[in-house]
Amino acid sequence: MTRPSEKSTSSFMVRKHSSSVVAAHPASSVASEFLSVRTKQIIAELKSPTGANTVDAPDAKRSIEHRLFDARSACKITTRQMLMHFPTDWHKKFFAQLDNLLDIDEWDDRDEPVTKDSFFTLIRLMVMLKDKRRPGIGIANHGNIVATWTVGPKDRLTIECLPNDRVYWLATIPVDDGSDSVAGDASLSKLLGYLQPYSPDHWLTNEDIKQTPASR
Amino acid sequence: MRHVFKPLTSPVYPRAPIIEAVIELVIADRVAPKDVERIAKKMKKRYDACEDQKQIDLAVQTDGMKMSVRQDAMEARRLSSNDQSRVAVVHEKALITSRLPPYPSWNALREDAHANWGDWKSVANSTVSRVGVRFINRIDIPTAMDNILELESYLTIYPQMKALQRPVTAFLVQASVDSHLERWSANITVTPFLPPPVPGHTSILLDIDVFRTDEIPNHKDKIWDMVDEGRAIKNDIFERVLTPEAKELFK
Repeated sequence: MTRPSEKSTSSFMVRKHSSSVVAAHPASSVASEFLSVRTKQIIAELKSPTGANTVDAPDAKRSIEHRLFDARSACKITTRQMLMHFPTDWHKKFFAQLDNLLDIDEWDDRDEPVTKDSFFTLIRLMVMLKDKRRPGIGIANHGNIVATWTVGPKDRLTIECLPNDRVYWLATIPVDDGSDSVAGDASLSKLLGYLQPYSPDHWLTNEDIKQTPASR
Repeated sequence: MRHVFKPLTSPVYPRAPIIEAVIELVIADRVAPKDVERIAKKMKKRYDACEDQKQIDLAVQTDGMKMSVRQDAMEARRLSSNDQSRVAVVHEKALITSRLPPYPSWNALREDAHANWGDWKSVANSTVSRVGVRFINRIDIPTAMDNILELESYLTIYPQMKALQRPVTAFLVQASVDSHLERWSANITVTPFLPPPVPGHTSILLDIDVFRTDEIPNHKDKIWDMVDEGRAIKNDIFERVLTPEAKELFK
């Protein structure tokens, strides 16, 4: 840790996040507790003149078609605002996956559209894994988005993205004629550490294997 | 010796930190709600979706004894492309045209706004009272946890906290300045994104809102020369607010 020098006039501390890191909504952060109500209001007003980052979460009162549109829009806007960290045109295939996943013609009314908070955890995971193989995506209960990397029918890594940087992960590993499964519940910052014993790169970097199609 | 101001120009940054680029035209007299609908209908040929919205401005006033709430609700439409790269908002007092990342070029944004304004003018012969060019940037700085980030390594606008000799955990700096070009002003805002959206980074929001409210021509071509002026001022401010070390992050 560097000490503020005589020359430096303004240092900004990055706080260590706990395992329950909140998603990037400033009003919910610990540090923003220090800001006055008026300051928070100013920051909220800065957010977007077109509502680009305030697209409403799917509202149960709207038709499913509208709710799916809202979910697709919110996911794409969130992705776009992180694109400076991805290769050029990375988003095009990803958006095709989202369109397929949230397609009204394929939709099961028992499902919930992807939630904004779950998707935010996913996009942060994708930034961490930006040089790795692209996953297949699906939807779990409560609108949580799921990412899956598959090498074979008994060899896959599945990560369900929850709000606030939490993930459920499930690793299925071939053993003899069958398979073993290992699961966990972790914060995003700790995930890759927990996966190390299972050689995650064999899921994340195997370019010879086709991507798992999106599923619900 | 007279100081001659030399505006800085911006190169093209491969990984520009723009999270939204906006051209806004505010009109002098509100259009009718039905005109909002008609304008949006014309614009829809260039966008894939159009949503009804209401823009509500609430003002709470108190004189210490009594409190009153004033509400101003306006009809609005939000148009967007399917991929959410292009967005526009039409409401009774303004036309807002926006591009989201990856930012294609100034010309692409300008052409969108120009076409949208053409549709507006075909419905309502409005006069522009405010021309605005606003770019919202997010500077993502790789930072180890519990590390101290020296703001002046990346920014030339930041809170001066030397006297406290303690790190800053949150701040908001907002300044209004007159531009080097007559009749133009700018609002510049610098504040951290808390918590930062990108893992392993500290994120600083830099919002540059350049605007003019004085002597705005009604001529359809001169308005766009003026919008180009706003962009040049925005670029100059961007180049001045960020240090060379910050700009390395965009290459």
